[in-house]
Order: sequence, then C-alpha cells, then structure tokens
Amino acid sequence: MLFGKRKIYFIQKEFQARFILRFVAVSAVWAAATVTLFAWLAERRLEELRFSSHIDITTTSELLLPATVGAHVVSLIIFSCILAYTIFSLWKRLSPPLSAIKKEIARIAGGELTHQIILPENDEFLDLATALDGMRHELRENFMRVKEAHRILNASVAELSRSVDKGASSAGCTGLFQSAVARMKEHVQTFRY
Amino acid sequence: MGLTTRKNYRTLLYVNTLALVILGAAISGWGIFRLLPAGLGENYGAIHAAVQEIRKALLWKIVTIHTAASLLILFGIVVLHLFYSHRIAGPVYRLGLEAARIGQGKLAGNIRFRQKDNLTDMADLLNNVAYEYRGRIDEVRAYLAVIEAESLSLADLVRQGRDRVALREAAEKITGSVKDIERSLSNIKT
Repeated sequence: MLFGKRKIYFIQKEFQARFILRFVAVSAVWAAATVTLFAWLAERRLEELRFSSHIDITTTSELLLPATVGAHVVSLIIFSCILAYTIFSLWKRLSPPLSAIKKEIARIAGGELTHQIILPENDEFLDLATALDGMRHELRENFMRVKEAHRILNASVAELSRSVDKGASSAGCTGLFQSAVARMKEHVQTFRY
Repeated sequence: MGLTTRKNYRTLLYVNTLALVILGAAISGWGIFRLLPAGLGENYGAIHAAVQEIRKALLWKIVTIHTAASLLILFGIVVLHLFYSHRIAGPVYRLGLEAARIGQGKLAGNIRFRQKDNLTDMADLLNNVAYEYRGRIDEVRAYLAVIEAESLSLADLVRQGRDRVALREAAEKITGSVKDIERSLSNIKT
C-alpha cells in the first residue's frame, strides 16, 4: 500500500504481479548480461596488457572505459529491443480478452442477456468477465421476473376486456387486474437510479 | 483494439523503464571506477603490477557493484510498474464493481475514471448498458403509470355502474399500454 489520493495500488494482485514480473525479469536478464559482457571485455583487455611489452596507459579510465562503455551500450541496445518486444507482447496478450469482453458488453447493451461471458481459466481478466457475467445473469433474472409479471398483467387485462365486452365487469375483476399491476410495479421497482 | 490506453501510456512505460535501466548502467559504471584506483602508476613495472591487482579483484568488484545497482533498479522497476499496472488494474477493478451494481438493478451508469486511467471506452460501454436498460425501465414505468391511472378510473366506472362504451374505452387504453410495455421489453432477450 502506498499513500496518496488512491490508497491501494496493489489491487489486482495476480494481474499486477505478472505485469511487474515481466519487466523485473527483463531487467534482471539485462543486469546479468551486462556483468558477463563487461567482465569478458575487461578480462580480454587485461589479458592483452599482461603480455604487452609496451603499455601506453596511465589511468584506470584509459584501461577500462572502452570496455565499460562498450558493454553498457551493447547491453542497453539489446535491452531496449527486448523491452519493446515485452511491451508489444504484453499488449498482444491483454488485448484479445478485453476485446471479447467489450463485444459481450455491447451485446448486453443491445438486449442480449442469454449469451454467457466465458474466458479461459487462466485469463488475466477472468475476474472482470465473471463480474460482467454475474451482471448479465442478474439482469436476466430481473427482466424475466418483469416479463412474467407482464404476462400475468396481460392475461388479467384480456380477462378484464372480455368481461367488459360481456357487460359483466365486476369489482373482483378489476381487483385482480390491479393486483397484477401492483406486482409488475414491484418488480420494476427493483431497478433504481 | 482490446486494451485501449491513454495517449503516450505505452511510450512512457517504455521510456521510463529504459531511463531507469540507463540510470542503473550509469551508477554501476561510475561505481566500478570509484572502487578502482584512478592512476595505474608511472612506469611499466608499476602499471603492470596495478593491472595485475585490478585483474585479481575486478570480477568480484564488477559483480558487487552491479548487484547493488541492479537491486536498486529492480526496486525502481517494481515501483514504476506497480503504478503503470495499476492504471489498468484499477479501472478493471472498478468496472467489476460497477457491473455488480448494475446487476443489483442500480442503473445510474455514472462510472467515471481518473484522468490517467485506461479502459475508458469500457467504462463508456458499461454506462451505455445502464443507460439502455434505464431507458427501457423508464418506458415501462411510464406505461405502468398510465395503466395505474386507467385502472383507478376503470374501478370508479365499475363502481358507478357506467355504460359499456366508457368501460370499453378505458379497457382499450389499458390494453394499448400493456402492448406498449410488451414492445419495450421485446428487444430484451432473456
């Protein structure tokens, strides 16, 4: 936890841990590669001097600077390429499930509540997909109740119309209809905004 | 595009990570020269001896200084990417919460992300879900209000024993509103 406007920064632990680990791994590989390359270049330079009959350097900088700069420049160039690929592959991995989720949300907005939102077991956004599918399921249940109440209302209205046509409308008939209206209203009240 | 991010998010992720590593390279490079003697000597023998001394200790010094610098950089990488990953994970978390709210029937649809957050298009999509269903429910409520008013007047007409024409007229209005509700709900596939 860090402190600021938003307090919890480690909120989706698994997703964030995997996100961070990718870059930590790439950086650790860079560090190891730099050490190896620098040690090898420096060793080569020292080996050259060991058997040299004439030495025209007087400082450590003259001795090791080319190896130091060379090792770091080469390792940084390679690192920058690997880093670019890591970010690219991360996006390539994260985009398809989010794209699928967006399509499903658009489908739900269009009134399709029968289609389940399913992502593979190990997907990064499985929690989000589960939450959205829960939303779809709850909306479906609520609208099924509203539709059932509407069916009952429709039946009671048909009954009421028949009795009016026959000239046999009664308080009992209108009461039945009113209770169907009240039930429908009750189900519609589950939606709040 | 699935993962939609704020402008420059990826570029900044790349540049900041690279900057941290360059800083690490600079620290380790500087550290190496700090750990070694600056001068090698004045004559061939002294220089040769100094080179041999450096050779003996160099690997250990390289490993030590690079390990220290790497640990620092790795800590920086963790912190930096914690922030960057949070700009995706935070919105994903909030989208999940909003989905649960919509599922409970709370169709306010007012999810708003922070300026630097990503996935704002998903927030818009989810707001649109709430907006669409709120529209349907508004329609149903409006028709129900008409039905309710008509049912009261119908009950009055029945109590007053009014003629069939007035009753039929009221019943037709109710039937019309019930059909309107059906139309409003027909696009929702359950």
